[in-house]
Amino acid sequence: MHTIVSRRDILQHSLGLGSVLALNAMLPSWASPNGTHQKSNSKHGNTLSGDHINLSVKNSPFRIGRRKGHAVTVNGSLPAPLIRLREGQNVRLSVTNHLNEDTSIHWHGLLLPFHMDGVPGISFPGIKPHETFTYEFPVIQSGTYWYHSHSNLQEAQGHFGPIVIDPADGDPFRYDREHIIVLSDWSFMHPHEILRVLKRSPHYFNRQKQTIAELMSGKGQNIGQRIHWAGMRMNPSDIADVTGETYTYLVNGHDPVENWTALFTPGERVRLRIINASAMTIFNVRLPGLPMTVINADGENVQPVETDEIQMGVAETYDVIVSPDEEKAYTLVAESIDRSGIGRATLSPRLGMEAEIPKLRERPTLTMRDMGMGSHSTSKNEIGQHSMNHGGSRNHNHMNHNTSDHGSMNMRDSGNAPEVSLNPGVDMIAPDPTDRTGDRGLGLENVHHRVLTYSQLKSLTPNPDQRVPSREIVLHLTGNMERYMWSFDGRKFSEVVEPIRFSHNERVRVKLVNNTMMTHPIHLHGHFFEIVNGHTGHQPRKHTVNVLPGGFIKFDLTADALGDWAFHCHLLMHMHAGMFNVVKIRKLKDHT
Amino acid sequence: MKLIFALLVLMCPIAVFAQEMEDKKHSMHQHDSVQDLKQDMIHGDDTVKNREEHHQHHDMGMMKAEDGTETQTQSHPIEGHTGQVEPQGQPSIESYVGLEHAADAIFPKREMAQARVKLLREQGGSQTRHSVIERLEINSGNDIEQYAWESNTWFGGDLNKFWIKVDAEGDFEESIDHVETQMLWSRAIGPWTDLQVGLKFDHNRISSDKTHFGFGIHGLGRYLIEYDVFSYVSTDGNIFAHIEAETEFHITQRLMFEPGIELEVSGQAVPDENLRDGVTKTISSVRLRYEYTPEFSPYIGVENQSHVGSTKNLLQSAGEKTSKTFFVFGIKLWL
Repeated sequence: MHTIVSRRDILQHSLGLGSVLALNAMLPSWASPNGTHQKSNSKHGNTLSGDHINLSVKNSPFRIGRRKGHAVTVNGSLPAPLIRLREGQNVRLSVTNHLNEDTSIHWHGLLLPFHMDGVPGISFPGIKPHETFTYEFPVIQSGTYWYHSHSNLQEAQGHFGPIVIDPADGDPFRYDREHIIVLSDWSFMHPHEILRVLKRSPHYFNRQKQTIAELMSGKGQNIGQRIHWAGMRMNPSDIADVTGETYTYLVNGHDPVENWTALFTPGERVRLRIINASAMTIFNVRLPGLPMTVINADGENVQPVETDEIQMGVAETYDVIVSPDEEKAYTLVAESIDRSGIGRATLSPRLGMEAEIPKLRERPTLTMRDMGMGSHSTSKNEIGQHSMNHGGSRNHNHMNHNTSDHGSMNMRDSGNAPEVSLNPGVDMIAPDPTDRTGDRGLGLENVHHRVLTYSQLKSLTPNPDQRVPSREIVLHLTGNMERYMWSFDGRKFSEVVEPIRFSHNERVRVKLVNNTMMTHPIHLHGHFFEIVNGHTGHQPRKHTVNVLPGGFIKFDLTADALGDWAFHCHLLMHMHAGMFNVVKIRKLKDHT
Repeated sequence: MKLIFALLVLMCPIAVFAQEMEDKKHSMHQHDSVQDLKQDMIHGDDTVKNREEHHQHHDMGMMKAEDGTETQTQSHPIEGHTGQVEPQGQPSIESYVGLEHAADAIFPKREMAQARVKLLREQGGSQTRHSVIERLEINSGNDIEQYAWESNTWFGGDLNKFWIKVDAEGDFEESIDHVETQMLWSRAIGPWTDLQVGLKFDHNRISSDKTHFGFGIHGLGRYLIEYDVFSYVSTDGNIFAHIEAETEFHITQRLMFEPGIELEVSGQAVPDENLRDGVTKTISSVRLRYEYTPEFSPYIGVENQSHVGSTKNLLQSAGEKTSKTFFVFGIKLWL
């Protein structure tokens, strides 16, 4: 069955591909179809490694099909070059700005001194046009990470790239080959224009609204539910703000037609380092017919867990191992959470082979659980049914019952979140948010295969700090969909909010309550936190966590990095609209 | 009696406002402590002094400045033992040692201050503008051929905006019938409600130009009904109200059915405008709009304009038509 692919074959193929792709000067050559082998020194093409790395940020043309646009790139490629480091080394990264505006690079997920973190206005002043800034820090971790601009929405214009740090003393997982998969979303609309359009009309990009035509054909919510949701001024089809209407979803910079291809030899264990580097897109990632074994989340190793689909928040990374045995191709599907489009690549034994591209699935519909009516819609199956729109009338009655019953089920009762400033920027307070670490991502409740949940993740090694947190703070994710305002605790960062203060080495539990009907990937700079998911001592360590709508998540944090750190929603437009704050870690005064 | 009626007319938006306040009542709690802290941060140099007093070297690595010189960098000071943290709430700002802005210890303070201003502006402080021609249409029925124009322009931030609303109509044979220009300050007072206050300038073919002070509520109501409830006081002391409500139903992703209704109310008789007190006019319409893109959507529809009440009687006795129904053809455009 197995065909042996000779090294020469691969070389010839890759040369062939190279000449095709040379048409697009933006091709990052680290994204070679051959990938890299675990033992190789992986120094090829556009991979940057060593002690001193030079990066230059500039404007470059970018093309999809026949359409030409303009991108902000690092060293002229989109995605930016792979930076491959080794745990234990020191690295100096000199970044030269060739733009006519400030730029910056944030090393997403890296533990480093705060002033090397790359957030203008917090870590440093930013990099002025035509100036060079040199970052320098020791590399004290390993895993899959990424880097991106933290200035002026440049990240949405192509300014992002992968980082891989090889462990100092060998990888606990064996694999034969690895590929880096950078997922992103590209629009020919300038990101400022996207934000402007959203402020004018927040549902601008939603071309999958509920319609009367659907109602007639029995799809979507039933009439009672629709009237009820309209009564609350809520839109159950509001899954993503920016959609396939303007976005082309890219894998390693290639659109679905270009079909970026990753090669394997049947029988090999192939490690895929998947990075969601998009600006506004939460992806459902799967390889139909090929189970994935998750071994690493956000750069930290986890106990292997086999699954079929992963919902990846913006800025999350997952490393999976796949073991294709057959001489056949597999499609890697990165489907936008609202099912308005896909990113596509192919995992194949030979170049030119393709597998079927699955059809886009039906756009999910929000449910009462997403509204924070959580514990009142009891079993998971029931919720699944709601989202698949069969549980309609029950759902509706349920809601009536609750609202008429007691005030606490009011959708905007400050008594349910006294910390929140209940101003025009807040359209909802989840009346009864639930812990959703065990829930599948939005719209995946009822798919007939395995879906990764946070409750399945256990860190490979015991958590380094197992102290019980001394206190718990509650942070509310808030917003107003109709005004396109986003905030923490009802206050936009621009309103000059009180920062989040921790004392150095304090062990603290943070509860994030999502009072909106969207999933928010929340990122803390310079730290790993541990998601409280029941696996005490082996809680998964992450830098970014998806908080599902109407739910909450808790994480434990050891505030061990002195300085100021950005803390924000990684949906870029949400951050830009105000869902942002600063975490300040200081020593406490000695009271003795 | 008439005065009472006029006052009621004036009260229209206030009733809506009161309803809004009812919703807000739950939220009347303050954050004085936060404000206090903010003041401390901005005005107090104590934290900086603390830093100097407690100053202690702590190597945070080397920073290579742009000119290539290596600078020894250091963080804010480090104190010895970490105290016990209260299980509830956060320690006050005074409990901490060090600069309020850590990067000030490493980079020039002025540059950091500038960068912070920019950061604030970029995370929630954006200003935007929107211009839409809601209706640019031709009215066609029985014996009339008219055109109508309705546009809204606003600019500003999330909570405060400046609005310009223009409504005009006329017929093709004579000069313009009526132009109404409103300049309003708009303030968000609820998640779906704006309070708008400003001036309205009326130009009418049949009467003299008028200026009104206007205020009202513009909002998105339950069942996604967009409404405007406004009261106006003219420089002559006349009081009017205008109530408007419309909604849209998606038949398909692009095809929309839009019913709407408007009521015009006068607080008193205004002889030179042929108005009696009470509800003077109703406008009801349905439109079918096809949204190729939000920027460009043509529509067709039917509209009825009827004078009602004693105004109707007045017009009838003068032998004028009091009701007209006509087809409309037009486009909605984003500019």
